[in-house]
Amino acid sequence: MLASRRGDRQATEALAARALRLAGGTAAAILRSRDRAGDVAQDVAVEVLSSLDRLRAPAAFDAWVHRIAVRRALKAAARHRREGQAGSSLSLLDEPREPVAAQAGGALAVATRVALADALAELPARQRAALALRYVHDLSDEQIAAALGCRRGTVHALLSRGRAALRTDQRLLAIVDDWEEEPRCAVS
Amino acid sequence: MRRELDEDALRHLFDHARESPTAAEVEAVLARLATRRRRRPRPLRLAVAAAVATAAAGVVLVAGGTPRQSRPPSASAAEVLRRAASAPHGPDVLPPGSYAYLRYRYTAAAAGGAPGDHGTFERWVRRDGRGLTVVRHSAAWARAAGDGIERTRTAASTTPFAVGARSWSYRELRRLAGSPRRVDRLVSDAARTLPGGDALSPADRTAYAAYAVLRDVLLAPAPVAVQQRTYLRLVGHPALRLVARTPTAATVAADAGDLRFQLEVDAATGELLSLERRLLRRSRRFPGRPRVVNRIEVVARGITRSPGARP
Repeated sequence: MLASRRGDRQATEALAARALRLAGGTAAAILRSRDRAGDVAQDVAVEVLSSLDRLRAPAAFDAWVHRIAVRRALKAAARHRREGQAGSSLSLLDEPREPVAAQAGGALAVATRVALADALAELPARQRAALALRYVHDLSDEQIAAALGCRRGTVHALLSRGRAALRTDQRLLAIVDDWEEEPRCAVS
Repeated sequence: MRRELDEDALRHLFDHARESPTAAEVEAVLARLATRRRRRPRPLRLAVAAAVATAAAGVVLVAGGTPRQSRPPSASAAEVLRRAASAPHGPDVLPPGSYAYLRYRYTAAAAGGAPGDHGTFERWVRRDGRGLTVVRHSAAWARAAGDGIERTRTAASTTPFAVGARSWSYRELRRLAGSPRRVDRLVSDAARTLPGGDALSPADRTAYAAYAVLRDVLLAPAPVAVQQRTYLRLVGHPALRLVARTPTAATVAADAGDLRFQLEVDAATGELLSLERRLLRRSRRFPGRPRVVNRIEVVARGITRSPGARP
């Protein structure tokens, strides 16, 4: 981070990639659309990198990104709810400029993303945010509370309700069934 | 027995769904950051914003407010297109063995994970479709893609020129110029088969189709008459209006839903100078913030004897 402040391009690139990864994971869980999640992640990365000087403790970088990502993604989700369901994407009216990059990770990963996005879409936005911070970023209850700006007890409640809904979701159970060969996919 | 996912399975699901940012996404952030840093200091920026807002308010007052879909087309916009459609133009026949040359500058906003780009497009194409295309991308794009220049040789084909909903031979393109009704049908077919067009009104679909046909005509060595007939299809659009006029050029815009299609034509020859598509406002149908989605500015056109040579 210090190198980036001094103008080191490689360090800035690394920070941008880190901010995009952290914000993208959270935004993708909160917002169903990959495009909108990408927009939010990019906005977060730009906001973070352009105000690096304001961050005194480099160790707090991740927590800072999480806080901004949650705030921006929740705002985008609220706006989306107000505006109604999104229809087709702009790309339908777009001339193809470059071949669209193949979706990363193969068919099962894509199916998992879709099933998870569908399941998460049925939960309240703050539950989605809490689940993303726990399962995508492995944050503790305290860290999630700091990112969401709420108490630990609230985080506990958000997580347990969100988990309960996901555990019995038929789409996710079907995906796990497709993973028969994978040893970690235990179903109780 | 009721099935439930355990904690490990839940974690594994999120692991599987995890994605890493691409190099292009990182580049897009760096490019936006560079633009932000180059901006003027805040007090000056505020003064400029105030000046722009005042000017915009003046324009709205002069124009009588924001145009609505139900308003009839502005007489001056329709007049510009009609005049461009009937402006005299020289013979634009591509001699056999020669190459139609086109150079334009383009800008395109970031979309679907791909970064924004700007650069130059050059194309040499013969009647049979054989030729060369050279695209010089922006430095940011080049860093992300690993190569800033794309050279593509095109092979001969029976119908090498895509205009509207189908591809045409050079002879068919020339025949189009002789029949206004065929050009009308070309635009109507493009409007009917527009992907995702169901949500647009018929007038908006026609506006988009006319824009797309103009773009295609620009790329194909189609006679200027085809382009001019397409202008006339736009004349009937209810949201058509004149947005700028200089002694040499006029800019006409048609709003289709949340999108604006804008074209600048040469006042004397009726030739297309630039095309622009803009997302006007935050939209239910189109993601992202209001922005110029893409813009093409024609730099040069002509006829050359060999690919790579400029007229």
